[in-house]
Amino acid sequence: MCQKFKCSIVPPYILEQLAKRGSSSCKKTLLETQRIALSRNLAINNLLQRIDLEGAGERFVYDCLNEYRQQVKISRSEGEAPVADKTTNYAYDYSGYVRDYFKEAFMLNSIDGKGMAIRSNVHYGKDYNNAFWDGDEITYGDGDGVQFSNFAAGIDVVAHELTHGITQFLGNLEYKGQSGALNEHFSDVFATIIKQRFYAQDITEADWLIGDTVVGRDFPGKAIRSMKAPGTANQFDSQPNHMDNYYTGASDNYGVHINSGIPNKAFYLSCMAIGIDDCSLIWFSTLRKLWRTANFQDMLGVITEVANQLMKEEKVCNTASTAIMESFSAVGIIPLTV
Amino acid sequence: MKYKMTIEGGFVGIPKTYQGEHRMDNKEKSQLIHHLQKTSPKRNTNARDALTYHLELTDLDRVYNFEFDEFNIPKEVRMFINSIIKK
Repeated sequence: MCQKFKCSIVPPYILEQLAKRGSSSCKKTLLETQRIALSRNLAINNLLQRIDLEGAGERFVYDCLNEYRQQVKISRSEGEAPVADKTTNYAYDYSGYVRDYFKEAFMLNSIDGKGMAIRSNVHYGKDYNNAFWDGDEITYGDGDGVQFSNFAAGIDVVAHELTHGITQFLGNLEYKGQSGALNEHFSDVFATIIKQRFYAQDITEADWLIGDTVVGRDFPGKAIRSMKAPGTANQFDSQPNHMDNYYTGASDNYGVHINSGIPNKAFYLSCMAIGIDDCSLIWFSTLRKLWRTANFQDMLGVITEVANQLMKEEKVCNTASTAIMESFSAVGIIPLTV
Repeated sequence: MKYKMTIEGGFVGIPKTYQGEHRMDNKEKSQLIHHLQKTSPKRNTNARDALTYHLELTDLDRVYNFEFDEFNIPKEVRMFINSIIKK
């Protein structure tokens, strides 16, 4: 006799033949199979037709309790009052500041443009000297208290890491070589813009440093990087400020934190020529147009096009395109002649 | 056992190298090698600014090379690395 469990793997056309020949169990199974298929199709259609509800970039801060694990314990959620732990409040406040900046300046709803929740982890590991974006959330170490201090307490660090998230959802620049250096560059660019805005600094009085608030008393330098003068922030700073000194080694994913000094310097020069507000719009619009494997040449091509378009729309000053070309030329990134 | 460890990448982007000798008995040694050789989960390719750990261990004439990122490093290896950093 045809058992239901046996019939379920039999193709429908065989079931149909058997049902026609009088097998009631096969007929029953055939009907059941059709019913399951119909309800499955309905469920798939509903899923496809569902309009994803957009979030608003709600913030969640987790305390890792000095373990090497994320989301160990929730310490503050969106809308909640400040807590006793200062680091939690820094991560909460600064991620909100960065989120609001991107929304106000570019109408970008959180990291992904769809209101993705912003999850931050603080007190990660023991004496952990780093902060990172992992594709979904941000994680901050406390620093060892000697070389580095609390990474969540730096508005530029928070902006840098959140911009990595934004880059992932826009150009998704590959994290190696020149595309990786551009990935780092965009994070430093928006870290700088947001830091200057946060401290209400003018470009002429700003220090153009990255990470100056998280270096400790024994760190041999004033900051981690300098946009104005790459290669001078500390004793180990090997960032070049010109293509002549381009790093060609394999370390650091082929120099993502090293060669970013070259476009960083071009950004600084552009800001000095046309102002940081015009540059922020041009750089963000460029980030929207870049692609995974874009290199420095591609960046120059796209940013020139973007600047020209924004000039046409009278959204930036009419010297923007020339100023940017000159800035890139000053660091050795020049258009290729065919 | 002699070790050479380089930690690179990270927001800071300054590579750090630690080199020296770590005293271990045979049992500890084989346990560590066992943990190091565990099949690690895939690397997180979406990670940005995460640290990379390169570890070279020399035991008599045998040389072992390992590489981990923040997401696939076994707990026991993390403990070993932390003990090196604290030295």
